[in-house]
Amino acid sequence: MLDSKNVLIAVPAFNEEESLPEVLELLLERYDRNQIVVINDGSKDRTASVARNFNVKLLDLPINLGVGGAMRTAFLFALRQDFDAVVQFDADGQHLVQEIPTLLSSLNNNDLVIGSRFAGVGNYRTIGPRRWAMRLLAFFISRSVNHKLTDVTSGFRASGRKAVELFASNYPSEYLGDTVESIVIAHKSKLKIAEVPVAMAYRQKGKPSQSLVQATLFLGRAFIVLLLSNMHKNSSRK
Amino acid sequence: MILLDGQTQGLVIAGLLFVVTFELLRRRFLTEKYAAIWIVLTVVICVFSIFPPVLSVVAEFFGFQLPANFFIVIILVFLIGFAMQISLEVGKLESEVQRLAEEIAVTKLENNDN
Repeated sequence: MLDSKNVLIAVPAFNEEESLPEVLELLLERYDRNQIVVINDGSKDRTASVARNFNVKLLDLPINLGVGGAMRTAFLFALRQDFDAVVQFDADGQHLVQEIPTLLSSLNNNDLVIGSRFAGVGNYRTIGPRRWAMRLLAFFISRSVNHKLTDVTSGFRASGRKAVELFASNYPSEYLGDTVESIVIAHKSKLKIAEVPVAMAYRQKGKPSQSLVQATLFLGRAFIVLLLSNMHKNSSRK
Repeated sequence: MILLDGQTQGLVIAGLLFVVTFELLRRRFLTEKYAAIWIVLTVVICVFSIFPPVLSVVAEFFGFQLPANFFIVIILVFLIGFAMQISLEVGKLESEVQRLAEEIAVTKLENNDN
């Protein structure tokens, strides 16, 4: 059984000084400050000092790398510090602390567990073209990894030991790479991928785009990522 | 009104290229790795300028009627190749910089903890 004390909770944060305090408060109610790490992704605001004030661990990136680069840093740290698993938890307040155990319990039998917004729990909804774009994408990825997934762009996910080892050296940092391509990479490395339904809060700020043009662009980029990730030689990035 | 014939033009261009490359190398703005390609280009232009028949012979060999056309094609191929090399290097540099940033963040945290 996975010991929840030996799980690293990674909070990638880029200019999140406003929402980060509440997120950290909620996390600290259930988890120890030594297992929570904020990855300050080259923020221009006070994100780093917020993390310092809460006395949680801080990975302070000197430049902005994007969510993928921030998470790769967290995986590298988890590997060096011998954590058994890493949970990605967004700094914008979208993810719910009470859903972390849901991810972790599924991690006992799997290497990568994705928290899905569309698998039946909670009231998260997207409407219009973006919804169809996400469905179509989920459909194609499900086929390419031989496993039914409903929410491939979810950032709420837990990685077990094997996945941490893989992702520490091989985690895409391009847009959509961290969510979509990482699933394909995990599948290619024969990791067991699972999905659990989770509830999520509405995004506190920033509305998900819903226009047809944006949805089409999103889908186009996602498919390029998907196509490339299926053709990449499976060598680790240096 | 033509001030310089083709031969002299070529030599002037080659000379300028050589001076610029040499000066950048001397000031360490340009590394030897990238200087090589410019020096090769300089030498090629020199050879064609001093011995124009060489260009004609080679152009004819590759089926070009006008040596000048052949020369332009060579320059184009060279520039495309060089642009490709630069793209590759930039991509490599970018991922190296990312790696370093990650290492710095992890090392900083590990040192603060101890």
